[in-house]
Amino acid sequence: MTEAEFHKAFEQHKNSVYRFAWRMTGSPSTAEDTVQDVFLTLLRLPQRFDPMRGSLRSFLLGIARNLVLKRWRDEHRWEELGDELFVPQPVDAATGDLARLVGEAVQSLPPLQREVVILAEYEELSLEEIARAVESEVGTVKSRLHRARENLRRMLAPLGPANTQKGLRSISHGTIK
Amino acid sequence: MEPLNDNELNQLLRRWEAPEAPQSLQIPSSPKPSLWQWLWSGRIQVPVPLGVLACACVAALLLFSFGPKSVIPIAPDPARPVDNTIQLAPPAAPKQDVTPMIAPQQQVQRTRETSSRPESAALAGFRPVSQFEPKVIGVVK
Repeated sequence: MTEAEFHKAFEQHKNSVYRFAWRMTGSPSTAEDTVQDVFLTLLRLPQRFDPMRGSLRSFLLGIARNLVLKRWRDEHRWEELGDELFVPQPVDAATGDLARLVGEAVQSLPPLQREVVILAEYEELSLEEIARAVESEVGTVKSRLHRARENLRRMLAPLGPANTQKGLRSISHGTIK
Repeated sequence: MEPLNDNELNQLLRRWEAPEAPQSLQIPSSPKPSLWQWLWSGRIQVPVPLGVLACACVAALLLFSFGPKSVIPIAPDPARPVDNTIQLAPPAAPKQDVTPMIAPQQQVQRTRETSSRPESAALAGFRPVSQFEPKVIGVVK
């Protein structure tokens, strides 16, 4: 990879990697560190990217995912990475900002569910691209995404129109009143 | 409490927006290692044939320098006592043995010629020793 190609890749994909890391961790500084580490990896080991196996964007998001999970394991080494014991708690609709409530709900998901939701719903990767990024089978990704959406449905139910008269209005205005 | 349907969930999820990467985020550049660091951790690429050839040369050099020396064994002759001395030329005959082979007249003549002419000319009456019997000591197989 030439220096010009590396600069182009950085400009094209830095926002995508930053957004993913920010959504996964909720920390701007961690997201910045992750972007730096992801592109340093690309700089040092460009041969690891195989265009036949997927896009550069999904490759970079896969590196970011591995770095975030490594950091998560270092900080929460006694917690389960999986989702078997996860019990979704409905958000408190009275606490204010709709975007913040949705963000907190997504970030409270177990890491393996959170990453597939972010990659599918926000970064709009296909199931195959997600499977390559998270190094899993497509069926596993599909199953995790289904469980994640079910959990989000329950957590965000207080914000739905059927449960609050202000629900639809709240969604359209972005705040809970 | 009734869960959200797909459409409602998608609408809610879109509300959560992430910021763009800050402008202060610099493009990373790998620091160039110093010569000392490079000597310890640097890598070079060598073509396989060249690497194999270099390894073979080093191995041959080591074998030539430190390997066992080749020795030609000499089988002892049971009939003779073993003497490992190799004599390339027959021992020179003592002067007194050679002298009687020349006739006295010739010796006188030779003496005269020697006194009058340079010594190189004294070979005129030279006759090789007839009973020279070289001995081969030891057998090289």
